[in-house]
Amino acid sequence: MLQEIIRDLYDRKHEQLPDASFESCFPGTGVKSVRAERRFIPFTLAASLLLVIAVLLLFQDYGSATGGQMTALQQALRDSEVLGLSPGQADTLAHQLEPFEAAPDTGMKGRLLARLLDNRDLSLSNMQAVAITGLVGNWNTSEVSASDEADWLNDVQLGTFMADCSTYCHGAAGIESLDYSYLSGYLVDCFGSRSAVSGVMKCGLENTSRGVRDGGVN
Amino acid sequence: MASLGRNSNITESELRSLHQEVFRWALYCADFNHDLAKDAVQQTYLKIVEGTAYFGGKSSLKTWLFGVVRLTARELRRGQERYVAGATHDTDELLDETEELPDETFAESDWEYVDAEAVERALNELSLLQREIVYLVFYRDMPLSEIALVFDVSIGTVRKQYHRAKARLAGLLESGEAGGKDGNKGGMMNVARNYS
Repeated sequence: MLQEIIRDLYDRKHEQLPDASFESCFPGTGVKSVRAERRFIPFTLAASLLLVIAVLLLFQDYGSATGGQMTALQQALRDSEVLGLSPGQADTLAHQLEPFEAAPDTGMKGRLLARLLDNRDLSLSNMQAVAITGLVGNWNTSEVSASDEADWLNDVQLGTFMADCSTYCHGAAGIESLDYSYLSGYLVDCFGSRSAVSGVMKCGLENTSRGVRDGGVN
Repeated sequence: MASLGRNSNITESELRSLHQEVFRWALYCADFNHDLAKDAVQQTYLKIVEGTAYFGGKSSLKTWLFGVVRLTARELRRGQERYVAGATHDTDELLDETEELPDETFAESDWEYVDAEAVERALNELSLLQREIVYLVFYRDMPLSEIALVFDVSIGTVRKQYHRAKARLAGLLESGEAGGKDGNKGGMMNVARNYS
């Protein structure tokens, strides 16, 4: 009698709850997905955390200049072994150089150089200022990167650029003259090729002479 | 049908044939919580497939499955809710196998006019282990020797707990202490015992 009551009792309980199908419980159908979901949750959390950290680092390093998207100029400034800028300096510079890069005009290089040298916050050396000016001024015609810098030095435009430097630096505040021997030595040290530099130097000197004679060139 | 990894002595078709019984047992172990029962069965199957639970063939597959499901459901329940009152006594009771068993005072045929609700309330007064044994004996017709394998305890322990469960049920139904909130004092309103 009691056993029947207990049977009825549990029968009713089982009837109220449908049995789960074998397929919904056996691996390959439901189980693996459940397991996968359980594994996926911590994985997703970890991936999200890493993504957030990566974004924060990106903004910390690159964000000041371009709001997170690094420009080609910014990248070149950071990559340039010649300039030897810190990432922060490169980013600040890229931000300041954007107007010059976007709208090059006559006399731009000179104004830019003067501006760079005037900016004591940047604490740029003369050579850095010169090189940066050249980088910006030649941007449209020369994809300058660390690996391309030797070729860039052979570009005749550098001669023109150096002439511009000479012309404007004579009148720039704090710069009485541009020491070509120093510049030459610096470039040789940087690129390890005196012959490559000498041609540029020669070209630069010639242009400087012409520039001074003609009252300045771009 | 392909065998299941390390458990090469189990086939999917065997599991399929036992699934309904296994799931219903899981339901019971999960206190009739459907989601919990389904989780328990899923994890049991997963343990089998991954080989973390190994069937050594010392019992029938059904008995072994019941044991794994029971432990799995217990793992799942732990932390979700407190085990019912009385479960904490199980350990002590299991250790006390030398205790003399009470006299047989209970026979299934002795009871007439028993109210189902009173029985349910009385069942809820038993310890978890005792309720599980009652369920397996009365509802699943499982021999005590198999239940001992399911619980991984000695048959003496199972037999002792079974007798205690019956004596407790008898006492509760006679005294009316299983009357729930209303008290149901004077349980003979619901229960009449045939001493013949």
